[in-house]
Amino acid sequence: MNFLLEAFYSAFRLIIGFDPDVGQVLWTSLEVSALATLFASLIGVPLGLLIALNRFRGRQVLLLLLNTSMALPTVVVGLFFYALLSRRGPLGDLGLLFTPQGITLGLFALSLPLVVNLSLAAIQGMDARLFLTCKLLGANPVQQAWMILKEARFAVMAAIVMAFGRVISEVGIAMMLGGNIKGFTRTMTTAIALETSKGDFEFGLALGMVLLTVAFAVNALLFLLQKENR
Amino acid sequence: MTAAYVVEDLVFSYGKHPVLTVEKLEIPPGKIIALVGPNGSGKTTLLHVLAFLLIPHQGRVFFFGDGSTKKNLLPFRRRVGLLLQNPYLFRTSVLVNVLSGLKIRGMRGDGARRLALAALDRVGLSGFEHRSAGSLSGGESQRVALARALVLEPDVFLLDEPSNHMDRESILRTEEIVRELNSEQGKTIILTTHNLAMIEKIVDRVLHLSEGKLCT
Repeated sequence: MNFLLEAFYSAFRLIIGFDPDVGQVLWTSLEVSALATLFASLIGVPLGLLIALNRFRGRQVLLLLLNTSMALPTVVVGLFFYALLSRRGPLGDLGLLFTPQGITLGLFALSLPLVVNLSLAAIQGMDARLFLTCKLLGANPVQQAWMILKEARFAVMAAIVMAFGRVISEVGIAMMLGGNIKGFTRTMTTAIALETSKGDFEFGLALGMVLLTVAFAVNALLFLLQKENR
Repeated sequence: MTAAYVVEDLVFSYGKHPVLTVEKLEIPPGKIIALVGPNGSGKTTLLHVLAFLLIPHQGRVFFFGDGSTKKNLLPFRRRVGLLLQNPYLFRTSVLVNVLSGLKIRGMRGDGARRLALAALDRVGLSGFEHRSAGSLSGGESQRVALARALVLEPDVFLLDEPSNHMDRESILRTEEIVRELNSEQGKTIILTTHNLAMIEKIVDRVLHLSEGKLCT
């Protein structure tokens, strides 16, 4: 028990002392996760909207594939992109392996199906009268889509926050595509895994606490926004 | 004078089951028409067809002489104002709700705001503009939806149970608005209602629907 308390104390000191190593991995984690979520949202939300509002051939198959891709193990995504980005791979010339951009690409692939699926579910769950109202007011298809998206904004925001939570807490992709290079591609999760295996439990715990704080802050922000607009 | 609506050989079905069949219907312009009939007789379906929201599986709808097709519904929709039985209000302020149709038509700024405030005043909701739509009662929501339709000044108003959720005072005001729209602006109004007093007071012609068919 003492060991755990001491670890917490040391972790706390590392955080409030603005330890540069903690700051570095925190920044890398936030950077790659935020960028991946941003790109996934820019593509995933309109895609979710498009699938939700249209009936087309192959829609059911697409939904099945999207659902399946939500359950992809992160290490499989990491492996796939490793094969793509490694020197012998088709995208090897881009030199993205073991770079933050490489991690971002993998995290983007991880979060995209999540954003698409959750946005789609959010839009399909809206009141049927909303769709009718947009039409009867004379909105064209683009205006309808925009109005529906505005109405579903909080559910869509929740989808984005969930995607962010998923990418910031994953370890497989960051490890395989980033290589855990100190001061360059080391993220919070890869650092936790490494430091704990080296026996530096306090540092691992400090990063764990920071990770939880970030997740809490993002969710608190969403909660406040939703409350404000209710 | 060109009829507001001419409906010919119309069949609307859900699946294989036809729920509305109208051989011929002509609605003259500038009249107040009531659609009456028991629940499930097809009144709302007919209103939605006349609002160009539902596409009939067979037959055609002519609107002031122009025939609608699957591909040209939008300009027709923009000339019709439909008040739903249980209207949907956007999760925002009352004013933004009333402005929404104007915004769709590219009208913004002070001019649009003035029109919206005047429409709210007309339905007796002056001072409600900054209220959240979610905080309104059923009757107030109905009146906001009416203001949202009024501000667009369509050629035809379709009102599905306009007195739904309304108290006596609001019903009287709605009747007055309908009468004014008709007598002062010559608008065609088609409404569904179970309110016999309303029919007695303001309606020019009553159409009976039963099991999806017009009874003559």
